[in-house]
Amino acid sequence: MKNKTNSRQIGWRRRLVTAISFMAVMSVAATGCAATSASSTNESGKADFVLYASLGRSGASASFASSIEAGINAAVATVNDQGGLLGRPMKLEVENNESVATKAVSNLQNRLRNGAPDLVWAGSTSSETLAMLSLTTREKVIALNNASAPQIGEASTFPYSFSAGVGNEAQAQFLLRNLKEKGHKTIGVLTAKGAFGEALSSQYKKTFEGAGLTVIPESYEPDAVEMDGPLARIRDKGPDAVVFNDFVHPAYILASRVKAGMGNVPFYGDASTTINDMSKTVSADQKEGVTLMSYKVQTTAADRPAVKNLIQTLNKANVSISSGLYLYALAYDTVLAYANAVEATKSTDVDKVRTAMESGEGKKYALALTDNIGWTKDVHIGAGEDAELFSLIPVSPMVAGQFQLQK
Amino acid sequence: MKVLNRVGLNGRRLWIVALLAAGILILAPWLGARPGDLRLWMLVAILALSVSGLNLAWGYGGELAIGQLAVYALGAYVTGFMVTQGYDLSIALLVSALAAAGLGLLTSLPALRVSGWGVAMASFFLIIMIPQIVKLFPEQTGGAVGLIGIPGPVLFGIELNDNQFYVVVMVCMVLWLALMRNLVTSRHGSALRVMRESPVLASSLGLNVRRLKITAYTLGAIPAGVAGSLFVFVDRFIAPDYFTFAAAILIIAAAVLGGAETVYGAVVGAAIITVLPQQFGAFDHYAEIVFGGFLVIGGVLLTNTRLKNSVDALKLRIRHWGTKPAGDRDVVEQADVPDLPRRSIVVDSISKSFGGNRALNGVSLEAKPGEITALIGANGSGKTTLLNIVSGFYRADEGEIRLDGEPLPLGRAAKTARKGVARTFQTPIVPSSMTVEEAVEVGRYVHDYSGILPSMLRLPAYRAVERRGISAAMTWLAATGLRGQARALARSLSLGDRRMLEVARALATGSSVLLLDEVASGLDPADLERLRTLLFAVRDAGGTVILVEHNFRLVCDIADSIYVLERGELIAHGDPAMIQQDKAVARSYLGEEFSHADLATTVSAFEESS
Amino acid sequence: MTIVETALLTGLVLGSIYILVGVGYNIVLITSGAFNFAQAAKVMLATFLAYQFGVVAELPTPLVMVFGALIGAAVGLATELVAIRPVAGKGLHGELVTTVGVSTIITGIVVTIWGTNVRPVNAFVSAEVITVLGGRITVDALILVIVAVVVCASVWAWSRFTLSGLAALAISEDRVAATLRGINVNRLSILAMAGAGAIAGAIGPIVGTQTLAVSTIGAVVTLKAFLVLIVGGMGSFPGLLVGGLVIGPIESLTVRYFGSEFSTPVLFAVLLIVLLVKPEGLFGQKIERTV
Repeated sequence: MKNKTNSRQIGWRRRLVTAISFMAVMSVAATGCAATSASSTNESGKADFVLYASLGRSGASASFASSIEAGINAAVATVNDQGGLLGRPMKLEVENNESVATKAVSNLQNRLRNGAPDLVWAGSTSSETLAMLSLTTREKVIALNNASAPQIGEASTFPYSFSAGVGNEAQAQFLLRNLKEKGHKTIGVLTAKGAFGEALSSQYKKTFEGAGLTVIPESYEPDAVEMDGPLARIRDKGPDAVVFNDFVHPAYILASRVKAGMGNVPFYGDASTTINDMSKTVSADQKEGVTLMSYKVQTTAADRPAVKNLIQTLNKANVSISSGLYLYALAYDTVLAYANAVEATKSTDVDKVRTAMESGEGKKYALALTDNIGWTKDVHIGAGEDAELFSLIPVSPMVAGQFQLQK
Repeated sequence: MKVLNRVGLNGRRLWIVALLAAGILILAPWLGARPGDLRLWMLVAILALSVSGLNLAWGYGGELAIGQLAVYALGAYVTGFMVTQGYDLSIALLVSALAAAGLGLLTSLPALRVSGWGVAMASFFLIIMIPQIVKLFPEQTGGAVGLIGIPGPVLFGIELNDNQFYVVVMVCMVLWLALMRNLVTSRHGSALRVMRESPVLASSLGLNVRRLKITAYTLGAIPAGVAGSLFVFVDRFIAPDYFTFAAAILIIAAAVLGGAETVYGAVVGAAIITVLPQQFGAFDHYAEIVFGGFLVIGGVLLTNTRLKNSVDALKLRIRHWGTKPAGDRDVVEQADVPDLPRRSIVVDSISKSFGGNRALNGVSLEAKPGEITALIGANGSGKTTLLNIVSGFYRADEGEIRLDGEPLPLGRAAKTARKGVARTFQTPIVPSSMTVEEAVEVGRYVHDYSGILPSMLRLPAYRAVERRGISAAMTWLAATGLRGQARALARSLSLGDRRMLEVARALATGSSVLLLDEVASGLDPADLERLRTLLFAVRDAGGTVILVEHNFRLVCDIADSIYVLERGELIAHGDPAMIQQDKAVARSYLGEEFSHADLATTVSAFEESS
Repeated sequence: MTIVETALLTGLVLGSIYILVGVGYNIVLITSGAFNFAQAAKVMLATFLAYQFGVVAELPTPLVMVFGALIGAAVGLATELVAIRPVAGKGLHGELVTTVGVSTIITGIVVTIWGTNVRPVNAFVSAEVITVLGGRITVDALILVIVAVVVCASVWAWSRFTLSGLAALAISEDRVAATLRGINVNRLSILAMAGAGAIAGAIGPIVGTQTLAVSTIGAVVTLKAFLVLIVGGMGSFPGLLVGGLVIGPIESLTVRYFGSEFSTPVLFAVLLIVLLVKPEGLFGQKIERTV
């Protein structure tokens, strides 16, 4: 009996010691890792041009953010290949915000302690971006981002925020044109709940109804694993076609479509459905009659020089392209558009650069998605030329970020 | 240490140290703290406020009200909306606190019926409904995208800079912690702990459990609402993304890690959860795994029983550091019992069935003031059932019980207790985290009540009640021989001492009717002697003592009047001499073959042999 | 074609997922008195194992289940030793933190290895849609429902009719008393946790046919399975079964006929009604007030 208590005590102590040492190691490691971002000059003698990027390397937006990061990296490499920004080598500092908005702001504020960075990439989701923007606006730093919430594009609120995310209206217009071409009159719109899906849903409703179509909007819980109910509700109203939106689970929608007996209703996936490869998660009968809207950069048809450069640069950096090339291109283009504006104005003054970005000045670097992102004086979110941006494709396998279309 | 003692610092005045630390914290911006640190400390303070509210309701009150985050979100959205409309921070803060209190009140309603995990689940649902509720008011809340364009804080018309806002946050936290400390160290804190430990004990002391619960939820919600209100200005942006299930878990984790039943633990827990993981981003893709490991290790280390015990012991030592210890465990020959109002209890043909079992069948008896009335009988004879009916825990199927001719409210224990009927329990119920003195003093909660606000603000009215409470507690502790252990944790007492503690607590309520359930079992001879002395003293002071007892010898020794129950029926009544000669009693107690023997001697022989 | 049955069948499938997670909750609840937040994450991990072994390594399904069960048991064991044993039953609610920690670790590992994208899982028997009682359901989904009922019933039978099961029930009633009666409480908790982990691991290929392998599934299933547990009565297997088969359809029928925005409020209302009418849950045991 006594022995037993003794050994238990020892066990307890050993656990305590192990645990404490583990914690100590963790915090030391953390401090060590955090301390690796200090130097600001380089061999060329000119001060580095620091791009500080706050991205969710872990947490909810981890896989998404890694593509953004690779795209930013590719742009930085491209600029440095050309001798840097106004001769200053670009230096990328990435900090992991763990996909938490408040952490992103805390990190940025800590970073500001060592002087403001020259350029900020503000988060990988809309709420990270929105949380960071009040600080970057106050600090008068240009904050690039990939958010698509319309509010982020309002130049009156956030004068120094620029997003290459394609505006919802551009997407809606493209879909509308194709729906009308096919003669569809009543359109089911199925989107996820949450900031992203709801903004798109209301945009689709506005655009489609404005063109005289009838819209049946339905939504589903973002973490649902079946969309039987919402699809059955749409089916009840007799749609000619259904437009659906989803980042993660298009496969669930298409599985439910078969169960709901909607195999004969054409389904159109919007641009969100081509960010990842869904071809492996859906069966042949589920694919039947499904058309997806893809960025041209993701179809093998796209052979723009900038796309080639992007892919080459990514390959050179040993990036295995895990999601649609669009995500990489989005980040790549935004940074290069900024670089173009800087080169055009020969200045990094925020207000001068801002004006140049609004008017799409500078052509030093070619962009991957479109020649002109389409920022204006009032709207800092991409509008682009939809004919140049999108194409419709069947559900196809994706290799290295590009869809392999069957001829 | 001695020097500090001499300048008047002691365990009871340690709050001065806490206040000093708070002062330094508040003035940190002018003492060289950097903006990044200030932001971090603000986040700690804001989390600590939410956690502290949870501690009040959960740590002290035992209610799994883990929907704090919903309250926090409400506070944030109310303030967010109001300041975008141009309201002053002072007004927004006030309205947020009120709205939070309202939501707390609302969430307490289901909790009046349900407890434990049911409450937790309902709270979780409140959290997952936040996005949907936000969506109902897109104009005011910014909907799913979030509320943007929140202006900087303006307090009393003055636009605050970052440092000034930091001060506001810290002052809010310090003020709340001071109020919280005052509340939980007062009898209200003891009452909450009693409710957590045992709603049965709470009712037996006359505590209104419903009201206590509502209070705990409502008060606990206020700091969370304030925290949400302040958070609005930290990022100047709020969105449903901030109020997720994961964020709710962090509040709980901070409460557990800092110690849920503490005041300052909220700050410790909040700091652990905020400051350490701040570095985890550096682990890149592994940050989540590291954070998970941190939760496991932190949870195992900080909820360790040994750690808890040593922390409790340390806290007791700190609390009593430099204050005068009470005298040694002194034997009281003649307990000093103040005169009690003379009241009689009449049980009038009470019947009670459980299912098909008739536990009591038309039992009538009378207990007179200035007498000890004993109720004896074998196991299952209905003694305890009768006691439970008299003390209001059970309803009777038939009959009534009158206190001084007035019927008692059967089935309503708290109300009965407030009429001056106190009781003890067969298995003593002793709240584990309270000291002996607190455990006795809480008996006076209802009978010498001081409101929540006076307690929080330590108004003179509260101080008077506190003084009376301490002196009463000391009186009864002396009478039960527990004075020397007044400062020990009640859970560390021996079984006998716990029984004595229950007697002291019952007497502290000031009741003149005392129902004692098997109070003598497990007492050593010295304790028995003390109990006897005490009961005689109570009797002589005019108290009405009803004794449910197995110990036949003790009963014969001290009772003035004995009732004998068998299978729910009264079979004998008389003074000890009569009962000892009663054939029916002997048969009931000892079986047929002993019925002719002298009961008292046989029982004594039997008790000694076993 | 009748529509009601399709929604109803959808609900039964959802309910079955909750039941399979809830079985793990109940086993741990009975033997350790702790609520194990990590159970849903284990099932999520199992679906990724089904992807890894079934789709990538192309192993036959029975072998995938065996591997899943082994890894699941190991994870269960580790959870018991690291996160539950040191904290459970001490009244300080440490398990609320530690099991959430384990769940976070599992999710973190899954995201690190497989990323956040949806991964496919092989069909268990057939992914073909068939018509049952006028409703449409896949063969695999139907099997999932049957498996859930069978697993829940077997574990219930174990707890009622076998010696170790009765011993587990004895522990849930009174840990100290059970120890005094010679029940090896620690060994039984370990076995129970390993068993719960093995069940979670083995059902991966079946659950995965419906959910596919996706890292975000843990959180929502944790909550809904917990809801089913509360409604059915904590620790009760019949309650779990009935709760799951009622809550799932309520959820799917609400979405079907009122829209998805009503599903959470309706479930909340059901919870409140059950709690107010029968606070201990449909099949829960009322704990008598001890005076």
